[in-house]
Formats: sequence, structure tokens, C-alpha cells
Amino acid sequence: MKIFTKVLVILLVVVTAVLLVRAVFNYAMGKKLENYLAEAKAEGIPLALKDIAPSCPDPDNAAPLWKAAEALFILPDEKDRKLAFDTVGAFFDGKPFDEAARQTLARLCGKNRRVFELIAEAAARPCLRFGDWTKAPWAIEQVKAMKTIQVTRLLGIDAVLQADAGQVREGLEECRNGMHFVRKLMDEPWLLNNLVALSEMKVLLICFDRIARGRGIDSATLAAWMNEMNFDFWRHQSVRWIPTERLIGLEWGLKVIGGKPGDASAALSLLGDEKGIDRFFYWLVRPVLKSQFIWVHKRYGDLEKIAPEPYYKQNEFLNKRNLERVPWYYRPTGVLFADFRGVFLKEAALEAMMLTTKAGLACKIYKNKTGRYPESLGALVPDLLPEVPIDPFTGKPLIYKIQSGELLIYSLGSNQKDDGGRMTYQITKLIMDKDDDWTWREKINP
Amino acid sequence: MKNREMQDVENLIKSIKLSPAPEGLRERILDRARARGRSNAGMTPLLWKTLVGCAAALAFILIADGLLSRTQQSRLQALLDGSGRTESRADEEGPLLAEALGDPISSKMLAREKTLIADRTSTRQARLGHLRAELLGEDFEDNENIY
Repeated sequence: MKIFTKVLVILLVVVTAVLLVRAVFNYAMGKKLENYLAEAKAEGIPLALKDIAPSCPDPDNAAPLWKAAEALFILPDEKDRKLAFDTVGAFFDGKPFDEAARQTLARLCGKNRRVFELIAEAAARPCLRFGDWTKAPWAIEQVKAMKTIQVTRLLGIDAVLQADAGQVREGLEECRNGMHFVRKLMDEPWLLNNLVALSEMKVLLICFDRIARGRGIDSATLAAWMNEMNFDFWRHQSVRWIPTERLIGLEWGLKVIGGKPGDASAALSLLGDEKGIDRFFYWLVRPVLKSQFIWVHKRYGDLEKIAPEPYYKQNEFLNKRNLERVPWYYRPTGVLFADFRGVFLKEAALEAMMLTTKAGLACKIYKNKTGRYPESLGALVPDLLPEVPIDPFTGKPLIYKIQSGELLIYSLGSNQKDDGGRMTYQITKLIMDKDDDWTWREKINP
Repeated sequence: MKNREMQDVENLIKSIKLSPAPEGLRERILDRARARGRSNAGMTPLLWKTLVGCAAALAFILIADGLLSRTQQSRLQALLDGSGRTESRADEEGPLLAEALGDPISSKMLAREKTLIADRTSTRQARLGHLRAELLGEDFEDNENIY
């Protein structure tokens, strides 16, 4: 009994001492965070999401048209659903349509004609602002990404079906509308919008490749499409998600460290369950969280610096600076930091697809003019290309080959190995072991 | 011989005079007994003092920390021009998007996005199941895992 009492009192002393240290640390870290933010504000670094809100006057805004398209979009009937979705999946995996699937998809596209028209109208508007950016980040309404993905993929397939039916110009135009619309999604600089836009742009590029590859298209049309393959636009738009993430992190962080009942529950739910133990844990580690939010904020600053660089330079920087390493004392808090290497990699994959497509189109124009494909990509400079395109993954020129009756232009992809131009759209891990090239492939004598 | 010795002892005992007990002996003995009792007890005065001191310190630390945190929080919020707004939006798309966009490398980013738009206060899984069945069909997610 005596020993038990003594142990209890000693424990109480220890708890008091720990809480005293925590309180001092909490205050000191809070002060540090306050000073850090005050300095950032003085330097003109945006600290509120509304500071980076997209500007888009109502008459220019494409969002109402997209909202109408979302509402009108029709999914296949129960009986056709499996066939339609299986076919969509197979199509983007490089398989041809069978006749039954073609008819089902054509019916579905017919039902959604008005949706595609609305997309074309939205694409022609100067900008897109879907949500109310005066609200908190988690209260701003975002484009329904699943609908966007479904509509875009069906639109791409409709474009291919039109081209297959002999309406190549209409198919290409529809594809272009889709691409312009997808680009607009990035007007609102959410990371999620960025990911959806990257993914759907790749989907539409696949559709465009299906239409353009092996078809005789006049040089003026090809030249106009080369202008569409401008990755600078994407790079410029893409870097905007980083400040958004940084600011969401800040607002969210303040919610967590504020720890107010009710208000905090939403923020705490980001880190764990809303159980008492979680609340206590995040109250206890609040000083660590304050320090961690400064760290995260600085990391985003580093990312902003390297975001405009090509992937091979980003990769070099990330490996050198070890930016992804989270110090051990921050790990228990469970605070998430965007997988930026993954995003950079996705951007690089799109850049590779656009560069190879652009080079492929230049080769088609060259062939229209001379009756044959060039000996090398260098032959396209400076008339058709300003310079030999550089592989974003390696920093070296794209591979150009004419072999087995085929023209191949490809990037080595994330594994930076020459897979002979073989590629897959079924990406199952960050860096694929094989079939990881991004390729423009065309039969020399179709 | 034996009787003689016994007699001597008795005489000796009788010759010993009884002296009065020293002043305060009784109190000293009792005090010592009490002290020993106290030292054997569960809570000593020192422990009591420590206990009260710690409790007071704890109360002070918690109150001071709460007050300081509150004022600091207001200043931090003011720097962000924020207003401590509450979450209101429910969006069920997160998990579906993880599948739609795809590959494992997105999962962390999507987790972050998901949690930002998540509504954890209701029967999320049930609504998700309903949404999946109604909007996508059970087979859709298997076929859209393209990127």
C-alpha cells in the first residue's frame, strides 16, 4: 500500500513535469509559428486560399454549362452497363471494338449528344470557377470528378466512333473540345482537379492517336494539332496546385491545433477517428504539430521552386535534397504530405505523350511534303520543330526509329530503360519494370 | 546453600530503590510510537504536500496553457484572415476516385483530398455503396483503372 501510494505520487510528479514541459514547448512553438507566418505575410506570400482564388467573371464562366452537362449525363441501361464499361476499359487498353460493343456505345453517345454540345460550349468559355472561393477549403464545392471522368471518356470514344464512321474532321473537333474543357478544370487549382485533368488529357490523347494514326490528314490540320501539344501551358497550370495544398494545409493545421470542440472534430477526423483518445493525443502533440506545420510549409516552398523544371531535374533535386524524408519526431502525428513525386511523374508522362505526339505529327507533315518519313528527328528542325524534343524522363532526345515497317518515336518512361517502344496504360506502380515507354507508333505504309 | 543464595537475591532486590520515571518519558515514547505509526501509514505529510503541490501545479498549467493557446490561436487565425469556419460539405467521391485515377501512387494524395471532402458524421459506407450501385454499376470501377 505504501509503495503503491509512493508510485502514484511519483507518477503524478512526472506527469506534472511532462505537462509543464509540453506547455512551455507549446507556447514557444506557437510563437515560432506566429512569427513564421507574420514574416511570410510581410513577404507577400499568400496565406489564405481566397488570395489565390481563380478570377472568372460570371459571363466567362464555363461552370454553369458543365453543371448542366453533369445533370444531363446519361449512363447506360442496366443491361448494357457491363458491356459498355468493359468496352471502355478494353478500348483504353488498346483493344479494338467488337460490333456489339460499338453499337451499344454509339447508342449511349447518341443519348448524350446534348452533353457533348454543352462540353463544346464550356470549352469555348474563357475560364472555369465551380466553387465559392470565399468559403473554407473544405466547404468549396468542387467539380464532381467521377462524372468528369465518365463524360470525358465517353466523349473521347464518341470522337473515335465519328472518325471511324468517316467523319474525321468532326471527330477531331470533338476531341479538341474535350481537351480544351479538360484544361479548364485546372483553372481551379485543386490537386484533385490537376490529377483528373492529367488523367483525362491522356485519355483524350489516346483517342486522338486512334483517329490520327494511319489516316491521311492534311498538313494544315496536323500543324494546328501540333499547337495543341503545348506542354508549357500544362506546366504553368500544374504548379498552381502546390500553393493551394500549402494553404489548405495551413487552414487545416490551424483547425487541428485550435482543438475547439465541434470545430475541431472535422479537422481531427482528418488525422484519425473522432475518439477521445485521438483528441487527447492531438492535444498532447500540439507543440509538435505546430513545428511540423512550419516544416510542411517550407517543404511546399521547395516544391514550388522545382515544379516548373522538367522531371529529370525534379528527380535529381528530390533525390539530392531527400525532400520526401519525414523526420522521426513528426511521423507519429500522421500528418499527410502530398505524394508530389507521383504527381510530377504523372505530369512527365503526359509531357512525354504530348512530345511524342507532336513529333509524330511533325513526321506526318514531313511525309506529306516529301513523300517519306525523316531519317531522324533532327531533320524536322527548324521547319517543323524548334528543337529536337527532349525526353522529360532522361533529359536526352526522344528515341526515333524506323523498324519492321513502323515509325517509332518514344520516351523511355519512368524506368528510363529502353523497352523497345512497348507501353502500357495499366500503371500499377510508381516506376514500372517493363513496357514503360511512351510511344507514337505509325505504320509506314498503312 | 541454595536457600542462602535465594535469600541474598531477595535482599539485593529489596535494596534497590524505585526511582520516579524521568520527566516526559511517557510523551517521548508515545510521540515516537505515533511517528513510527505515521511513517508506516500510506500517506506521509511529505506525500500529501507533494500531492497538493502537483495538483495545484497541474491545474495552473492546464488553465494557463488553455488561455495562452486560445489567444495564440486567435492571432494565428487573424494572420490567415480565417474565421474558424466549420466543415459543411459532404462528398462521397473520394474512394471511387482512388480507383478511377488509379494506380497506387495516387493513394496518399487522394487520401488527403478525400479527407478534406469527407463527411464522417454519417453512415458513409452505406451511402457509398448506394452511390456506387446507382451511379456506376458494380462493374464500372473494374474497367476504369486506366491511370
